[in-house]
Amino acid sequence: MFSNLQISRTLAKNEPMGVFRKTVSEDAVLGEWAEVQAAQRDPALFRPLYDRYFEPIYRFIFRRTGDEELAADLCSQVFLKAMQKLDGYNYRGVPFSSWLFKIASNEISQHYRQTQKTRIVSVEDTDLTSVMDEVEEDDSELHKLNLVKVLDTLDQKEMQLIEMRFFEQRPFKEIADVLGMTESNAKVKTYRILERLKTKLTKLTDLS
Amino acid sequence: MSNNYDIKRNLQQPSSADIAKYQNFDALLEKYKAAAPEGGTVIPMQPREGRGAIVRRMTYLAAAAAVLAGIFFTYNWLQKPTTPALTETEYFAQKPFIHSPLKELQPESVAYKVDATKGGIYKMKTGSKLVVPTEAFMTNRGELIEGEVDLYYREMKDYVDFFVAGIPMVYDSAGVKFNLESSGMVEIYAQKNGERVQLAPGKAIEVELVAEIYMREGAALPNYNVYQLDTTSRNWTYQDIDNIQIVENAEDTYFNNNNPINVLRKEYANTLAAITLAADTRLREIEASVPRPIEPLKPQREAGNTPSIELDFTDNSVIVEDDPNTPENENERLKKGYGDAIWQIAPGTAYDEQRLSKITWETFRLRPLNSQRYELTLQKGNLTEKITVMPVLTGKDYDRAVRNYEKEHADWQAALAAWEAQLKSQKDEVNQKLVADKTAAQQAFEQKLTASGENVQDALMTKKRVLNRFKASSLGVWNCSQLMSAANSVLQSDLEDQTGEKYRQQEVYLVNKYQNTVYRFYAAEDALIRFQEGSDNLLWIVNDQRQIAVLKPADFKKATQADQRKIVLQRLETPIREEKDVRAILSFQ
Repeated sequence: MFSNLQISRTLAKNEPMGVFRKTVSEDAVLGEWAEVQAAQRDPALFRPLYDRYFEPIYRFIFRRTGDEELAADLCSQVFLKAMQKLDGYNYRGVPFSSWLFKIASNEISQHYRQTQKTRIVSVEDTDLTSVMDEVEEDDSELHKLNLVKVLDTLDQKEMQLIEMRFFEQRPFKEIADVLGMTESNAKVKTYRILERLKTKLTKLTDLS
Repeated sequence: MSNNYDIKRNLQQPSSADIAKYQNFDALLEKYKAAAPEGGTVIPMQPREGRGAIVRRMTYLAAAAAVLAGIFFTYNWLQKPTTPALTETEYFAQKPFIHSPLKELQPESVAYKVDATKGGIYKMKTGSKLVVPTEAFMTNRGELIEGEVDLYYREMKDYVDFFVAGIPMVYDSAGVKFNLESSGMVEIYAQKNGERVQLAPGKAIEVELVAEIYMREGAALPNYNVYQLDTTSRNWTYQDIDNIQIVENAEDTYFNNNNPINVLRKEYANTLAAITLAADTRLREIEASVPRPIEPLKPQREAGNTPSIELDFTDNSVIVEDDPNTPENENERLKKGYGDAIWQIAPGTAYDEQRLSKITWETFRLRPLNSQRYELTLQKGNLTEKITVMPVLTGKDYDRAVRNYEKEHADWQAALAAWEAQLKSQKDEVNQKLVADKTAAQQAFEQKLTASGENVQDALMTKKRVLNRFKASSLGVWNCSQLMSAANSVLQSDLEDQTGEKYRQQEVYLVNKYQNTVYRFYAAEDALIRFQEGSDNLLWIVNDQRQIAVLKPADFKKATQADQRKIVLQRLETPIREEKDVRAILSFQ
């Protein structure tokens, strides 16, 4: 897990790359595009992409459902849909995984719409510390408990941003592609969410 | 604040090895091909060029292929009048998802009149129950329904029910197929003025379904899940964990009260109960030998304008009951954390303020409900009042308590870990002995059974009545089930009946005595039957005249032991008019 002690305080500046996951190099993205094209010609050649991304997609889904079997079902659906829609995939300069995460995100949303259950959000204590650091509050147990309460007030899109940025340490470029926005938009929205979290936390602490 | 999310802190993540067991590209590819456009083949993409060129090329190729295909199939049609045999996958894919040769025999659903605005509780003769919430139904256009709705309900509990109803028992999980073993199934649907209606968003019918399952004597109740039948995707969809519990031992028709084996089984059950009780007692003694660290109470601030009650613990006039789930002394906890507290009536509690304040109560009893709420029982003579209360602090008392709480809580967690570590080796020893004693008891029981000449497998299995609890969030077929592990044996044989009539291109059914499911196979030429060896299996087919040809367990065993290449079923010419006729034929006795 990341130690997060060097996280930049303002999102307008470049963050230290050692903290969040590095973006994939352009060479790697191009190499992967060749694999996608091969799979578009022959579905059996989808295997390397499947093998590479099965576990990350599974974990993405599991964090949002908390159930191994359900995650396996939805993961299977994601890859089946990816294969079925692969002909429509074009090179966009981002890893193929972003497209898969987008499909996974949609499958999860659809699942919760159909079952009317409450969406699960998995968060480690270190993730909470990471957020506390961003809002410049100490990570006492009481503050963590308050932060959990405040996180519960976020809407779906906001929660996705916080999850992908602070709980999964994804780069803004990937987040933007998955959520269908520009990179700068993702940064600005995240910064605004943190400001609101900070305000709400302060109010909650004062009430305490 | 409302709960928009179920936020889980430090949820245990599966390991890579756990995840890998769901990874199966071959199965995914098969599924992709099965769902591909008609013809089942995937047309390879041409190298990327102009779109128009691709379309023209594809059109020319498609036209040429169509001509060739026409010539090919015409030739084959002239040469071979019969259609080529389907694979098992192809056969079931082209059949309706729910299909049965005797579907008209299934019992009618029970109908209830429901006030759609008020809902209601509906109890079945079987002991099952439905709780329909208020304003539960809407039309297909999303309009909330008022007035009366006809609610239809039926239960399917065993293999005869599943077979007659034509319910598929195969579940595709991430490309891997399992059979579902059911602990009970229901179908619920509703109509208004003859038109089907749906459940409104956010509404669910609570179901308590009574059923029976076979279990190995002394074994723990398996984990069951809840699935809903999705006829669109032609699969079961996992919904939730089944909240299942054993209610009692059901009447076992195999072992009636006169059977001496029952004495042995009761003796075995009593031995297991005694072993478990001894282990539980010893574990409690171990935990009591070193006092468990007392968890500090989290301070709560008083909310303004809420009625409160003053309770004085110092003179021991308030009786504080301990929470049976935690060994801490509740009185000590309260004194330590809430010595200066006032007791506030918990939000949502109904109470009569006049009655509470006007009567001079004689005894006060506090019972913990959870870590923050307590049930306060006030008594004077025959008068009793119960309310839910919570201890709260005010002003500086609260500030001081908050400052102390964080450190105390951290200290408590460390102390608890140390306490558990201190007792771990003793507890491990008790648990190891428990396993060893249970194993020895089982071995002794099995030896006695073998000596008695009875079938050990039959004697070890016992029927239990269970109660499944779940919420049906939409109308349809709901199934409480566990996944079956793969069969351990295979039989490949030609099937025919006693008159010599051969059964080919035929659906074949199999049931194992102790597995509450139905296996379906397709015998194109011969039949490839996967089954569980070691216990009784029943196999049957239904011919075009709606007659059942059956292979009883004894004959099935002979056929498998001899690895017979031809199996002779017994076709019964008894007319099948009702479901009970099917039940009589498809009996293990």
